[in-house]
Amino acid sequence: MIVMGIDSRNLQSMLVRFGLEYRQLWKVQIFRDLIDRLLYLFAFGFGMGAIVKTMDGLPYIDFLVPGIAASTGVFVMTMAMTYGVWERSSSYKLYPAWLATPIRLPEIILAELIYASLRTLPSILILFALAGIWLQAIPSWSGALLALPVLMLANLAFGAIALCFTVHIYRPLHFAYVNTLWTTPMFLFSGVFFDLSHAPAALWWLSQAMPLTHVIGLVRPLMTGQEMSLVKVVFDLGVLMALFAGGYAYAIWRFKQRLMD
Amino acid sequence: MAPVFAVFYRSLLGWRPFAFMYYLRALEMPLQLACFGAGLAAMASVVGNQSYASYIYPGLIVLYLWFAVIMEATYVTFTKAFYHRIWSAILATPITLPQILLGEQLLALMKALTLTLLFWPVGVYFNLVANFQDFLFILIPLSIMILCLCSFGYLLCSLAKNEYDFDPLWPLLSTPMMLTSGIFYPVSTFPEWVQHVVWISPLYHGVEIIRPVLQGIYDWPVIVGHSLVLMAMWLAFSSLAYYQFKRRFQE
Repeated sequence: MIVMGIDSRNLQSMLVRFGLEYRQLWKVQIFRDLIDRLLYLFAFGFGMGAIVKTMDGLPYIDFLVPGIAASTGVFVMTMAMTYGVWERSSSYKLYPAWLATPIRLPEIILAELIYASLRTLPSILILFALAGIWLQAIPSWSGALLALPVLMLANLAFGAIALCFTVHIYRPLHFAYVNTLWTTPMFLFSGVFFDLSHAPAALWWLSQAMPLTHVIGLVRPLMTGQEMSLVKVVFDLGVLMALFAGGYAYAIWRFKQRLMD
Repeated sequence: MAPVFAVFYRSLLGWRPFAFMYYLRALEMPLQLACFGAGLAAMASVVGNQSYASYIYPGLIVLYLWFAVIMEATYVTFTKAFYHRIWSAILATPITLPQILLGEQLLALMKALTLTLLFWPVGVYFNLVANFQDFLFILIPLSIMILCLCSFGYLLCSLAKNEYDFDPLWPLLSTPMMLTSGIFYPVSTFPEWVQHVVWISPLYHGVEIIRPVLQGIYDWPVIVGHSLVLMAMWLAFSSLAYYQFKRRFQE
């Protein structure tokens, strides 16, 4: 079946290929995620939790968990769609090899995005389990379940944006710019650690330009049971979908030009 | 000393094209301070008798030095020593392994100290540094910490079989050190056993020395005590790294 230029059989083949790759990696990745999440929750539970008791009317750890869950995708997707895509397309020359088959570039890119997005799932589930069971920091489990599809959509958007950088970079060294100028400011100014209503006006406006703010705007109320307005939900979801669609389309257009060079 | 400076100069020339990327991380410090200072300060306004931004500023200096030094001492050094075989080539000249290690450490020290100097205007902008003399003074204990971190990186490098061997460093060492060394919150907020374990973290000693100094407080027993621990770590890591590298190059 072909939908919007994507042949589902080709997409499936690519996903199977990535699934086989993941079989080699999953144990190490899950172990790393587990250690990482345990440490963060331990440190923030004792350390920062001792200084900051509440935020936005919530216990600080309850406030923090949705932010950490949302920001997981920023780092995983950016790494996968910058260094990962670079390695596969330029170092290992896998893209030319795949393109010599009936598989087309939009299918490869979409499979990359879906695969990387799904790879964040164990990390997020581990976080939810540890935070919810150990620290009792997830007031709404049903909300946490509803947050999962939102996080997956957000991951696609983060991945598509990262690809837009990748298609313009010719030396892997320059991916450091993406971290310094994009992921770090986004991580710091999107309300992961603090309530944006306490931020100065300039910081608030800056935060609104960050996609992560819109993800947290959806995920935090879902997981903590705070009130959500329908307009805001539609707006935040619309931003994420537009970023994914726009980033994906642009990255494919530019990637095609690069491959033909 | 001439061979040491020859190694230093050769590595400096090789590093020049990457210098801009190296110093780019200084841009992240004001972002962090703006985030934690302006954002979180509303909630975590005071730690002890300090503002939160002035509390984390010394911690961030130490943290950025850790990232800068350890990346160079592991991935970059491994590439130079074992992939590009530059060290083997140098060893074919009259230059010896200790001279290579010392030359490389000198360069790492120079890079890290110049990076530290870039944090001074940031501190001045956010009104976090009492005066320039205090800032200059912290370069002394930081130098010992930088050498300690560098030699620790060399030890890992001497043990690594390929560059992927460094990957566990981040979840198993870097993150725990970052979170428990008193960078973002006092160590006293942790359970007692963590407060003992954290003594093995060089970052903890670095933070403990420079935090009071940047406030204009010179507690000499604290400064000397933590500096001695860092020095002992530096000597231990350097000796082990030298021994391991020697074994590998003889194989």
